[in-house]
Amino acid sequence: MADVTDAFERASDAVGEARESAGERALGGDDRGQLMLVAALAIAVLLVGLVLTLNTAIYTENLATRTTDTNLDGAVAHGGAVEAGAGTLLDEANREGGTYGELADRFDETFGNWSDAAATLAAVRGAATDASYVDHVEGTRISQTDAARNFTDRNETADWTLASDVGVRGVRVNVSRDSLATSRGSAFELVVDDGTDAVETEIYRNTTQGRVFVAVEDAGGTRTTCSVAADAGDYVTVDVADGRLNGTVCDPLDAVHTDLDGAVTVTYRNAAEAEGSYELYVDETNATVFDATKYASAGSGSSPVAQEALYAVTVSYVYESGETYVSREVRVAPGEIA
Amino acid sequence: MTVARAQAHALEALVAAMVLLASVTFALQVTAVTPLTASTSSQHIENQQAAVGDGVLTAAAETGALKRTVLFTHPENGSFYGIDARGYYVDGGPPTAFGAMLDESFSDRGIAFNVYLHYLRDREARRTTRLVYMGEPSDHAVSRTRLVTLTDDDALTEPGTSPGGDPRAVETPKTLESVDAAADEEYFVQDGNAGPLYGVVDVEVVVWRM
Repeated sequence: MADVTDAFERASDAVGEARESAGERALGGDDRGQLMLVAALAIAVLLVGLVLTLNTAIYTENLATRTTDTNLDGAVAHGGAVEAGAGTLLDEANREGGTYGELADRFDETFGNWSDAAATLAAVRGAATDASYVDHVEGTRISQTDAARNFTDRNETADWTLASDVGVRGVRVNVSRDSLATSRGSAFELVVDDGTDAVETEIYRNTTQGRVFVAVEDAGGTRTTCSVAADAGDYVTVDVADGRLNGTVCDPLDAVHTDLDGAVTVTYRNAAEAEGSYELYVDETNATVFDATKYASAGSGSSPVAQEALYAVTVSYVYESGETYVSREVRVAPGEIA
Repeated sequence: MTVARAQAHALEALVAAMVLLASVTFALQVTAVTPLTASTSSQHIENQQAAVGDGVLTAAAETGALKRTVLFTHPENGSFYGIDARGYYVDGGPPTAFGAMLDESFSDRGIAFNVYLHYLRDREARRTTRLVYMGEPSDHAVSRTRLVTLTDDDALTEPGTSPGGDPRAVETPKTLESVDAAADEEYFVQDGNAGPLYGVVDVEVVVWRM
């Protein structure tokens, strides 16, 4: 520093001959350089301060445009998982059979296990969850497990009504490809009728191509089809409520949801033209639905069977994370029609 | 003269100290403000990626594609189909409908993802299996999860094709119950419950920009 100041001193000596007096020298050129330096530093500090202020403004703007509403994604996803899990376990519990009391106890216990496992897994993400069984709706499971039998009733009547004026859910058919009729006219038909409108689902095959067709005639009488290729296995599954043919989306089946309203009647026609297994659930008790001319009792070894089953369950769940608390009751009836 | 110069020196020292402190403060501020500054990521993009992750998981769970992918294992050794000795997929999703959804949503857009399967052993010890592992996620990765319920009657799946010709997982006759009972067959989750519930698997998707 001293060297620089001396250099300034020499320079000002050479230029300003007039300011030679000692008094002027103390305030003059000798110290001006140093003051300029100090002023420059002060301006630098100001600029730094300005940058900091602007930076804060940008950051504030960023904070302000972030979503500030309560994040419910976790709660919504958990609610979906509860419904899906309870639905799967409900049908699993139903398939094992028993009285309404036994079924409810089995579902309660199984769902309790599910809740424990889900809570342990969710705890890692900082969420406390709990789910429990609340109530159920008694119903009937109509099913056939003998894959080599046709879809006729117990007395082998080909055109028969499975249940009248009922809520229906979970209609699933697993049909043998070779047993199907080769033309639509004589094909096996599943009719769901709500009294004013009816949706008819026909299943048949094409002998030359070997494809299996599902033709759906909606309430307006329009017929649309979807099909499965010949090499897709000996059995073809149709999930009517889920709208799936062999696991692939079959849009025409959506008619059972869009065209029907309220209680329905389920009827089979040309039931001798299809062999395989099927199941569906209706919301009337087994005492009402069971008819010895149509059905065999559970455990008799004959088909088809009508047995006690839970049509729907009500479950409650709680989801609590740092910022949210969600408590809900949901009714679970997987694959409900109309 | 000497007096005036000392004052200037003192002032200069003070200002220099302030500059030094301000620089340190500024440097600290800069590192804290990653969004919207010169960073590869921003909060909005993270929100967007998290939402897409949620959407993919929800859609896959709704169609059953998620569960079929979780069950996409060899019955002999419990490992996934079409992977090498590492035990997980590295260059994209598995050859299933869920894998195709992941590829289309993320890796085709230059976004990396890992998929982990968390489950419980003996009903309390949490275990994790990697399904897809593209590497260590960066600091601005986001994660989304979805619970999948497995029952005793759920069947393992194997490679197949959809009517459109795309690879997907198709069901085999082997149920989890039968695989658990057979001595020479296994699945990576064990049956932890006496009832029809087999187990619960938490599928976690971690997403980040490459």
